[in-house]
Amino acid sequence: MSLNLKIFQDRVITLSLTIAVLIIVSSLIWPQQFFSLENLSLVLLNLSIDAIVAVGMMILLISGSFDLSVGSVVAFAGGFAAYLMYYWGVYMPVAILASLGVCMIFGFVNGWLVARLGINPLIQTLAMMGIIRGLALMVSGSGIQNLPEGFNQLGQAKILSFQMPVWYMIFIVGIFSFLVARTIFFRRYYYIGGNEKAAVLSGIRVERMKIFSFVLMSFLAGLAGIILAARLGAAMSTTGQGMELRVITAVILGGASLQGGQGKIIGALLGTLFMGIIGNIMILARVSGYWQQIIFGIILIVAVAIDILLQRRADRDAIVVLKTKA
Amino acid sequence: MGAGRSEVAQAIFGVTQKEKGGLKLGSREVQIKRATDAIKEGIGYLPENRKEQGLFLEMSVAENILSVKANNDHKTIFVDYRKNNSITNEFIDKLEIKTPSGETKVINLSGGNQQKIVLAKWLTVNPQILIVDEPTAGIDVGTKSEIYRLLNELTEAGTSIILISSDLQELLSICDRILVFCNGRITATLPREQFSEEEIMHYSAGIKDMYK
Repeated sequence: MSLNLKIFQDRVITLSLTIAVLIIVSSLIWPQQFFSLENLSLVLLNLSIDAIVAVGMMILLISGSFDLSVGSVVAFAGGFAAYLMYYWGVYMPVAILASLGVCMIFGFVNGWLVARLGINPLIQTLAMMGIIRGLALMVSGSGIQNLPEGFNQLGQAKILSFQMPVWYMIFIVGIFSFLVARTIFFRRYYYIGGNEKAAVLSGIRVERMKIFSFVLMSFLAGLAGIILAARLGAAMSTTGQGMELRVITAVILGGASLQGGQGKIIGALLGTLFMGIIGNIMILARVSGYWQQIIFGIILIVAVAIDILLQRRADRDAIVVLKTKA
Repeated sequence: MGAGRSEVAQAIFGVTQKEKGGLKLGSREVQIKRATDAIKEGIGYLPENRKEQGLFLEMSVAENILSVKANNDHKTIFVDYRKNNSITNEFIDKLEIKTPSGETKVINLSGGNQQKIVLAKWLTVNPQILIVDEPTAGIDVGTKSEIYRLLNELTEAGTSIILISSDLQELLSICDRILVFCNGRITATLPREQFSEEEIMHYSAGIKDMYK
C-alpha cells in the first residue's frame, strides 16, 4: 500500500501520466485536429515562452521564494531590445545583450532587497512588477514593429517543423534539469528552501545564492521576452500580463511547494505542458475563454489538495514502518 | 539561559557579528565573517534548537548528513551520488542511527536519532573544534549516553569540544574545564580540580564573594 502511494507522491510521474491520458483521449476525440504535427508544434510554440520563465520560477520556488515581476520583464526585454534596434539602429546582438543586462539589473535589485534587506518577496516583486511595466510602456509605447529581419528569424525560423522558440525551450529545460539535479551549486537551493537558518549554519552563503536566483530569473524572463518579440516580429508593452500567475500555477502543478525545498525542473515543463494541452483541448471543444481561467483554478486547488492528503498518508505510513522496526 | 553563551558561540562561528574583539586559533589571528569561514578554519557548530537550526526536516537522512560536507567543498562541481551514499552509510553505521534507509525523511525519526544526524553532519568534515549547544536537551537517557560516548571518542581523536549546557551534572561529569557565563560575561574559569556545584551556581548567579 505504501509503495503504491509513493509512486503517486512523485508529481513528475502523476503529471506525466495525466498528460499521457489527456493526449490519448483527445487524439481519440479529435483524431484529425489534435493528433497532428501542426497542432503539436502549435501547442509547444504557445507554451515555450511560459516554459522558459517557469524554469527560473521553479528554481525560485525550490529556494522558498517567487517573483511576480516576470511578466513585466518579458514585456520590457522585448521592448527595450526593439527600441535600441529601431530608434538607435543598434546592432542586433548588442541590443539583445544590453536588454538582457538591464533585466539582470532588475533581478539584482529584487534579490538584493529581498535577501539583504529582508523585504518580503511578494511585496518586493509586486512593486517591481509595476515599475518595470511602466518602463516597458516608456520604451515600446503602443508597440514597435518593422524589426530587423535577422531578429525576427530568431523567433520565426523553423527546424524540423518546429519554430525556434520550441528548440530554445527544450535547450533551456535540458540544461537546467541537468544543472539542478547534478551540481552542488544548484542543489543548495533545496537546502535553502528546506530550512534557511540551518542552511546558513551549514555554511551556505544564503544571501548570495538568493540574489543569484533572482538575477537568473530575470535573465530567463528577459530571454523569453526577446524570443517572444522575435517570434511576433513586434514588441508590445502589454505582453506578459498575467504571466506571473500562470507560470506559478504551472510550476506548482509541476511539483513545487510555496514552502520551498521541493520540485524538479522537468516539473516546470510538465506543468506548462499540462496547461497548454488543457488550453488546446478547450479551444478544440469550443469552450469559452472564461472557462479556461475557472478550470485552471479548479485544477490547481484539486492538485494541491490531493498532494496534502497523500503527504499525510505517507507520513503516517513512515511512522508505522519506524515503530515496527524499533 | 540568557547568559550569552549561545550568542558567543554564534559570534565565534560567524553567524552573528561581533561588535568588537578578535578570535585567535592557537596563536593565529583568524577572520571569521560567516559560517563558511569558520568551517574552513575547522570549527563546527551544533546549534541548540536542532529542528529550527540544525536539520532540514523535509529532506532525507543522506541530504542532512551531507549538508555541511557537500556545501563547503568548493572544488567539486558535480554531485557524486555514489560517494555520497557510502559516506551516508558510513555515518549511519558509526553513530548507530536508527533509520529504515538513507532516503527516509528526517522528520520521521525520533529526537535522539535526529540529534545524531546533526552530529553526523559535522563529523563528515572532521572539525578541530566542535561547539555543541545543549546537545542532550529533550533526548532519552539511552541516546544521551551514546552522545556522551561519541563526544568522548571525538576528543580522544583530537577534536576539542566546547559544550554549552545548563545541565550541571553533565558538565561536572564530562568537562575538563568549565567557563561560567553570567549576563554575557565570563565570570569564572574553573579547572577540573575546582569543580563543584556551589562554585558554578555562585558564579552563574553573578554574586561575587558571597562566601568569601
